[in-house]
Amino acid sequence: MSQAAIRIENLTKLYGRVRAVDSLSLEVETGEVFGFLGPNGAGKTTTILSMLGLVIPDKGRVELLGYDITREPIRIKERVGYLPENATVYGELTAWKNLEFFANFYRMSNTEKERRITELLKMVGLWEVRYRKAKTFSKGMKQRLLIAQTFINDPELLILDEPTSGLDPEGTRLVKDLIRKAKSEGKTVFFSSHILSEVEELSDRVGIIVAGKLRASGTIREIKRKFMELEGYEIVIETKEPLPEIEHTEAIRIKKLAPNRTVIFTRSDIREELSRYLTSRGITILSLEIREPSLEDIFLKTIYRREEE
Amino acid sequence: MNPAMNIALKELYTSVKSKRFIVMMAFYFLIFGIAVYSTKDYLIQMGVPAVENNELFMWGVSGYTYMTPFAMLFMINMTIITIIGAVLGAALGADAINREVETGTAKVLLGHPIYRDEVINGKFLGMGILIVIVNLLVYAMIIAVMLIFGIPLDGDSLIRGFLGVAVTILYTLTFLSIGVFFSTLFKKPETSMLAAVGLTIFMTVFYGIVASIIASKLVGPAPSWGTSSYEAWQEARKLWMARLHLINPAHHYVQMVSYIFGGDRFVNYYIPLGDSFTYGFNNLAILLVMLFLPFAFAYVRFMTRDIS
Repeated sequence: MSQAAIRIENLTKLYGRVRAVDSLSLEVETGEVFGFLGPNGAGKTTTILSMLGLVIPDKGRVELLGYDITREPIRIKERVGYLPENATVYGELTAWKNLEFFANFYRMSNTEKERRITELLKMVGLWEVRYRKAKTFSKGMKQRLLIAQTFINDPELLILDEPTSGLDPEGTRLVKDLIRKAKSEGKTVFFSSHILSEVEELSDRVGIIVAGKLRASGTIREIKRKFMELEGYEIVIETKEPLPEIEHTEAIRIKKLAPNRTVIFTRSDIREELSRYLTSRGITILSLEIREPSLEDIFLKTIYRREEE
Repeated sequence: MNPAMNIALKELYTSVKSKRFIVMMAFYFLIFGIAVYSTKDYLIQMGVPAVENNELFMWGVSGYTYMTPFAMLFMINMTIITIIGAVLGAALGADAINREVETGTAKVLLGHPIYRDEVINGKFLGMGILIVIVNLLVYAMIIAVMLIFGIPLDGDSLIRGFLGVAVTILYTLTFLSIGVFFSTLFKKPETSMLAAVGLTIFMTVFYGIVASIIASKLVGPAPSWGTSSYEAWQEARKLWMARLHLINPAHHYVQMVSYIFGGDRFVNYYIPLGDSFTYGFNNLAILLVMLFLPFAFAYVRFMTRDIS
């Protein structure tokens, strides 16, 4: 069994009376890409800031790469790359100087530093403007430079807070490629986002945080299954002949879309029973499938449920 | 590289290029130039130095000074530095922390292997180095001015000048420390800058007037001039002025420099340096407290706050 790269236990952070993070616990395995989803103000950034010791939690503990963040912050940060949200680089320094400044915090020879900075500036497409002051950069260019500083120490664990915010489509693709590359190199990636397609596309596992509480976590498949168990199933039946009346104790609602196409909302998966029933009535089944909820459905429903509470 | 030194060098690099530093230095050189131009003839024809009574009411200081041409030029420079040096120190430090927090660079910085105390120490160190360089440059400039105009220089004055520069550095660092404290006290850099520079100008320019008014109010109406009760009233007023000036770094700085260049009327020469430091021990100690206390508060605030 692989070691957890991130272990958060019972994390709680209060801002006055507001519980920004409320008894949050989660684990991220080494080599995993974990997408941290949540609406604005859900507590994603506070969780990340607490993970890095930038925010002092009221309760709970955080372990990164097997070390406690309050006891071994330097040992952790030597192996972690962090991309904050709403941050910027030093405007008075050039792109090169910015990276050199951050590289100076690590034990690297000058040759290694130069090689790494060159590599990163080329990677984020800022090589041509390396001697330009960062304050003359566009928002997207500054974000690219921020991304570059995240990788300066060739980190084992990447913590990215809204990494694609402020980026153009090309920049977004760069971030996605970097996350995929990191995963292929066995690195762990923890990233927050409210762009569902991005999370669905990149993550091995997902956590949904709403009002400081972790509402769901697991692989997207697991989350969908759990969601269906909780919210019910949507079974779509298409037959050759018109469908007869269907009655089942598990069925909640039946919606006829066409004479031979129906959606049945059920409490459990009754596809086998349906199939047997229809076949015994001599009806040819063209398709019988469960319509899976999208991550967007789950996400919105989770937020909606919270509002109802 | 040591993380604090890495930050210090970055601070030094960016501070030297900052508009505020360039403007302050240009303003300083302009005033110093005017002062030198208007006193150069007097300095050239000064003749034999003498011990003179030097009254600096603005900062509640009076005493005898052995007025060599160098001492005079240093004193002229001191009156400029008391205000501009303090404003420079305060302005350099006033947004040191909150600017980083506001722009988000603090998050980026603290995402790297660096302790928070190294950040604040590094910032103070970087700006401190700048203050030291500026003061040494000013000292060299005073000597250069004297050499250019052919004004005689003496070794004792030069040594005392060097000690005066050390005290000036301490004084400027005190205001840097106050500035850094304000940068941890206020969220907005603009607010802390305004508050720190405002307080500095008040302490170095207006505090003497305010202290004089308060002291007069505290001792009551003045009796008739020339009577013994008038002398007692004047003594009481002086005592209150001294008490009120205790919290003013400018007073302690000017007093300390006055002691360094202090003169003995009987021998018509400087008082021994040992005596200067004995007289000024309290001023020096208070300046040191004023340097470390705000920095300690800033330190505690920065170490315990959330960076979000």
